[in-house]
Amino acid sequence: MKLLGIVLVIFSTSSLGYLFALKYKMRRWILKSMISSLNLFKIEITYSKAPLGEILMAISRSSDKSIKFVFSKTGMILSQNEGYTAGEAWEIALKEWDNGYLKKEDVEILRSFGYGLGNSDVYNQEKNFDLAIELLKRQLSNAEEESKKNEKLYKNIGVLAGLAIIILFL
Amino acid sequence: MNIDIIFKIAAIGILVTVLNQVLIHSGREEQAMMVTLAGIVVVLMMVINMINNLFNAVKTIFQLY
Repeated sequence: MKLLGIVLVIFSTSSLGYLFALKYKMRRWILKSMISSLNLFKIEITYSKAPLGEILMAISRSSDKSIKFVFSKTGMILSQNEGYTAGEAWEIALKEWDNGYLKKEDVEILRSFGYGLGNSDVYNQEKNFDLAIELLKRQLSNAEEESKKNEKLYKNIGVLAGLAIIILFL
Repeated sequence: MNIDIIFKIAAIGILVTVLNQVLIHSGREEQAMMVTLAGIVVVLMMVINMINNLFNAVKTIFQLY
């Protein structure tokens, strides 16, 4: 009975630690795949010049599953021809996508990117993309620094806190 | 007289040391300090009864009522 309790406590606290560590890892991962998808998006816009809805659908197929939703949702809204501009569709998709992993600043960068999306010529669109990618890259290096500092710490603290609880109650 | 409490205190000591090292290593000196203090307080809570007993025993031996 005692052994079962020990195992349960250790398991739960260390999985809690892993959960906290996962948050940092996921933020890094989402930012990374967002940058690569935006790069692809930029190339598609400047090169193929297809309608935005189609481009977004194509990108959602090739992007990582954590960010797939934003592109597919925006593409779906745009190809349904309900009268939304690209920026509005992007914002709606962002709002529905909201997961706890990204920080407020990251979402804000994506939102302000949406304002410029699809309302100017190709040259200025490219500038808008460059700005968003640049800002996201800065956030990514920020996130990397943070995760280097915190990821291991949370994993260790999870296990150690479990041990502390066990020793105190034994 | 049970000897278990000595091992318990030793285990807490080891744990607090490791936690301290982990926290300092990731640049959180303040939290490391707090963990050390918490460890001291916990151990003190465990032994304060025994210290009280010891003082009473000393008082009884030397008849200092």
